[in-house]
Amino acid sequence: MITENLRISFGALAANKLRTVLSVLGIMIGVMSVVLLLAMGSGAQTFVKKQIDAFGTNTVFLFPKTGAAGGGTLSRIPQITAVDVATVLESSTAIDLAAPEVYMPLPFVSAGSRTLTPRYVVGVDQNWAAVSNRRTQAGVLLSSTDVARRAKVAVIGETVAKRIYGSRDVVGKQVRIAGQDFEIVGLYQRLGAGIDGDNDSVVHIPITTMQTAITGSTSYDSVNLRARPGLPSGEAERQIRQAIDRTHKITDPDKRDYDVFDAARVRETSNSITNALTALLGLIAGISLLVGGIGVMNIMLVTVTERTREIGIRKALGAKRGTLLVQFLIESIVLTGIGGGIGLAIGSGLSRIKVGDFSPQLQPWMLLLAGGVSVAIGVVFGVYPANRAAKLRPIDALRFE
Amino acid sequence: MIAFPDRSSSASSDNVIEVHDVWKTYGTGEATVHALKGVSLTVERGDFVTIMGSSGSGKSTLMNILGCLDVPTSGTYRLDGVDVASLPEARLADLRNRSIGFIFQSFNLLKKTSALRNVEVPLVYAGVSRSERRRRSLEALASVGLANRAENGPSQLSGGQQQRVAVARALVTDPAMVLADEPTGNLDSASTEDVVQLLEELNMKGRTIVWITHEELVAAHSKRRLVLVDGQIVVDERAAGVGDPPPRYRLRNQQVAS
Repeated sequence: MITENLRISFGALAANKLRTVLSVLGIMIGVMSVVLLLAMGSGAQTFVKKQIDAFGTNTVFLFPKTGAAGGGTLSRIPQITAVDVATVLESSTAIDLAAPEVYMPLPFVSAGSRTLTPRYVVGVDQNWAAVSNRRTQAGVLLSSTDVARRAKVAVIGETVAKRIYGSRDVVGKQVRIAGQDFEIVGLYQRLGAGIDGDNDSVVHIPITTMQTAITGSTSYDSVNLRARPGLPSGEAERQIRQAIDRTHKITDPDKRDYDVFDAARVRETSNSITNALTALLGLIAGISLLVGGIGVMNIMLVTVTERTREIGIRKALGAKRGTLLVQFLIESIVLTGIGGGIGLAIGSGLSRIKVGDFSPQLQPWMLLLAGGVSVAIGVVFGVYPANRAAKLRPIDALRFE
Repeated sequence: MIAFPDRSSSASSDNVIEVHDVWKTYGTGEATVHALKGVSLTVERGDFVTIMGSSGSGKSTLMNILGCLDVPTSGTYRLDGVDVASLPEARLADLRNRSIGFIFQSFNLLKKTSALRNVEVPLVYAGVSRSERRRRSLEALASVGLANRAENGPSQLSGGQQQRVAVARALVTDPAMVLADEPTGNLDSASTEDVVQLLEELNMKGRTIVWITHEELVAAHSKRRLVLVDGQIVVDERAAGVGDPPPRYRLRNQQVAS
């Protein structure tokens, strides 16, 4: 009986090709947008996660609260020093590695006649790459010897390499920073655009070189701390605050002259935001699916009216109410099923397209959801027309012209 | 499929149709119209009955009731021993499917559907398997002389051929009664003759035939003739016994013999 019903349905749909195509189109666009928007939402989530992970998955940042000394409550300019870092490493079981950073105030580099203002020119030590989980694509990372000898060497990002030399073939070449020549010893692997700018627009030199030859400072602008994996959320941050409160002799949390930024906790927040975003996108796409469903109902109602006589004949020949109900339901499900299938195909095809660093991410549950919803729409919007067909009295239906 | 109502309780009287004091009323109050006013009628198995009447005489109403397409306002109708009034919709559908073979004036074939598949429709609703359906439908088409047109759709068939497809469809479930509602009304005389012969032959094979018509010439082929006027049967005359061949059939065969 089901195969018979399918045969009747396909026959009827084939008999009105234009109408079938138009109503299929509505569902197709709906399903396609659901798939595509869900995939884009998920892609966005992965993208943001990747950006946050670029800070290092277990990285916590410690930096002085600049300009926060308001009210004269602080006796000195906020500073993070080697003593603070040593105390944290000593007292916090949660932290196993620290990498301080000193920034060049007005970053500017040149090579020959080419000049560039990179996002950051930073002095770092040999631990920085390990904490930040960065590697080179060519050359080497900064070593402890470079740091100890205050070497005039630099490791640069891809954007800088391309801007000043027009290629990635830069290892061994020179770059001029603050009137001094540095030898490029390494080129970082590409990281792409981050939430706060281009992660590849950086120049790293030994922190000691930065402090003695450029800034003249002894304190740090920021310290990247690596937390041990598997800690409860917020534990690393708590231990760091405990250590720094002690070295800075702070008793009132409101008067802290430093800040701690935990990437893992930011990721939690961003996850909930992107989840909400995905749900919103899905909802919008769902509305177009709903509109498609109403289109299908419209067509089914027309179909039922047009085929009143056929319904009468079938009833006279022994078709039961339930049989006709199922027949028209199947017809509407076939309609939405075809639309859904094509929509799934196009949607998953489109979601393979990569836009810059961002690519939509298709997951099996999205296909199941969109496919399931399109069939459900066939049922929901098919029931009323099908029931109308099934309820017709045979003599009325037969008399219908 | 669904168990069929027990016929043995009806004392196995050999009546296919037992209509007793059936009234059919449309509308209410001032606008009340009595289409049937106490019609009683018994049709025995194997009979060939024509019901005649002008338009408005109530013959279409009677036909709808006999075909279980409509229910009487009062009175009882037993089809093949089963009281129709008590049956739910699904059972009525079964009854239409198995006990009645319909032939309509306007053929009522499904459009864009081959002759074979048209004939198969009642078997689909009877739950007959596909191969069996095909076999029986081809057989029925062959019996109306259309074996070679099985794959043709209604638009490729003449009116007479379409009505023969409808006859095949009416036969295919092997019903107790063939109910024909002016089946020759839209046909030319040659095709009318074809259909009349087909029904005569069916009757010869023992099938009960109830034929609604207003054509005297067609009615002359039947064994029994009823005339309906104003919702009542006013004439009930018999031209041949229930067990005998239809009158004209006999006549023609005698002519052939002599």
